Amino acid sequence: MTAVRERRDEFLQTIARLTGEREAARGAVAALRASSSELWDLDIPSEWRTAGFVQELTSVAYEIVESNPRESLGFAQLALAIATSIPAETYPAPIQAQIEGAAWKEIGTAHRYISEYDAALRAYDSAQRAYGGANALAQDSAVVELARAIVLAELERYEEALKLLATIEPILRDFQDHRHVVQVRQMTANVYFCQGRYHQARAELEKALSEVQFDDAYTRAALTNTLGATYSQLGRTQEAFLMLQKARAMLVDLGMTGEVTRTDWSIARAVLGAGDFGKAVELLRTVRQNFLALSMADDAGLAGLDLADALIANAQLDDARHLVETVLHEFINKKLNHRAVTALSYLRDVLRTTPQPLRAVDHVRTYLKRLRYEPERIFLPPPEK
Amino acid sequence: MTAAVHTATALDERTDDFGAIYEENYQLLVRTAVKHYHISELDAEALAHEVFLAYFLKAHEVINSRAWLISAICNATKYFLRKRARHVSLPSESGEIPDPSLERVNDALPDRLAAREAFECVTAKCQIALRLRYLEGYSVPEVAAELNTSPKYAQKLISRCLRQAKNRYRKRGEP
Repeated sequence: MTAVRERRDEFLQTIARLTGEREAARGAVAALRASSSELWDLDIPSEWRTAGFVQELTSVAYEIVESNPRESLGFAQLALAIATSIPAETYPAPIQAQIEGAAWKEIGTAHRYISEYDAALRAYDSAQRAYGGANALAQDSAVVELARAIVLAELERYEEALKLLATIEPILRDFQDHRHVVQVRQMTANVYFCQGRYHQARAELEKALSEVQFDDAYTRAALTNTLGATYSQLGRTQEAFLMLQKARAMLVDLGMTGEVTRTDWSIARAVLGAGDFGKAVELLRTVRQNFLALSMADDAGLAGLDLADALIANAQLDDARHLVETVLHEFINKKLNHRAVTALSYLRDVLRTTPQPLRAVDHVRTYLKRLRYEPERIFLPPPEK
Repeated sequence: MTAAVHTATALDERTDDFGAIYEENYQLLVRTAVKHYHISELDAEALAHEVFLAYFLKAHEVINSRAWLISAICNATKYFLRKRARHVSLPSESGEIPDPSLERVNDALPDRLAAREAFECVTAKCQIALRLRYLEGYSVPEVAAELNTSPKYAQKLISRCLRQAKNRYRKRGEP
């Protein structure tokens, strides 16, 4: 019993130390957030070289990744630099492995948000190497694999993503980590959706909605949104509108303006799919304007191509040509990827002569979507039929 | 002063909670590892201790502590056994044969320790650049991608950081 007591005391000393370090780090990390990037050229003060300081930086990186992924990357890299500078054996296993792995995970996630997918995958590899240095980090390791599956899906490596998701689901379930289990289901559904396996996507989404925690409104909204889009693909229009409106209401409550506009976009696409072209034109015009007001030029451009589709279907080809010209100028003015400008220039020119305008729009839209994660991809016109 | 007292109280309460969880579950975790995976009690105790530390790092998001701890000990033991299975036992006469990797240990060990210490005394940017290049095995273009710069600059940075590490380490040793 004495041995247990000794171990317990050792454990309590470690947690008291880590808690104290985090408390002490809070002020310094807050000051760092307000400072410039010059800190990279400074020496790391010895009082920063603690696990608590690294945890605090990693936690800031996590908090800001949605709003400022580049800054998040800086914080996560700084966390890693400091973790590297902590002398070996300072902490018992698995503390050092966990803080390094967590820093790498945030580095990977920040890269994912800025569409640097190769860098994200490398970071996730390093996170796994770090976690592998301890025995007791199976849950952290499964969460990194979930993040990896998201990147693989973005890269259209769907089968690899599905395989990975199937492997980690039972591990997360064992830990009763419901939040991540729901995310696994959500991701699996997204992959099915991208593969056109809409029935399987619907089944996964319905199961995920039955498992999502009551207070997790954002995940519930995202699941409802995708379910709406899935119903739309299955031709269950009424259910699609119901779900999309429900998702929209939740996102309005959460104050997520960008996501509300994305849901409006899904609603407009469902209207377009249902064949109400006049209404779709009206909705897509509003969506485009809202994206532009939010400075989301990429999304505004893609919504513009959907609008071009609706205009062509509504026999307003001249308006469609004029719209593509406008989108092209927006891309030039915003200095977006020059390859996107090339593709839009091609579309502007080809719409004057092609007997298949919808095919041309679809080709350029697919290219622009791919360009988001393959910024060096060269544009080629569609093969002639 | 009041804030400091509050913080100290909160820390004490938190420590008490973790202490209770440790005492309530320690034997259960050790028994689970020994009974289900047939590892020695000594190994099981070390694993259980590791699991409690991992639990502390995750406690804010754990809903059911006992379920989490049991799952963690099972996964930790399986991982421990997988790692151990990779070990190959040496032939009995190996005790007489010197390990070739230790042939220059008297020279190599101080070098390795010095490299680690030299690593510790460079700037944050150099820490990350040297870690990526020499610990994670990133190529120069991969280091460049990580640091959002050109491969040419990344190469220069790595060379500069190596020089910095060397100079600072040398200065450290000077009286």
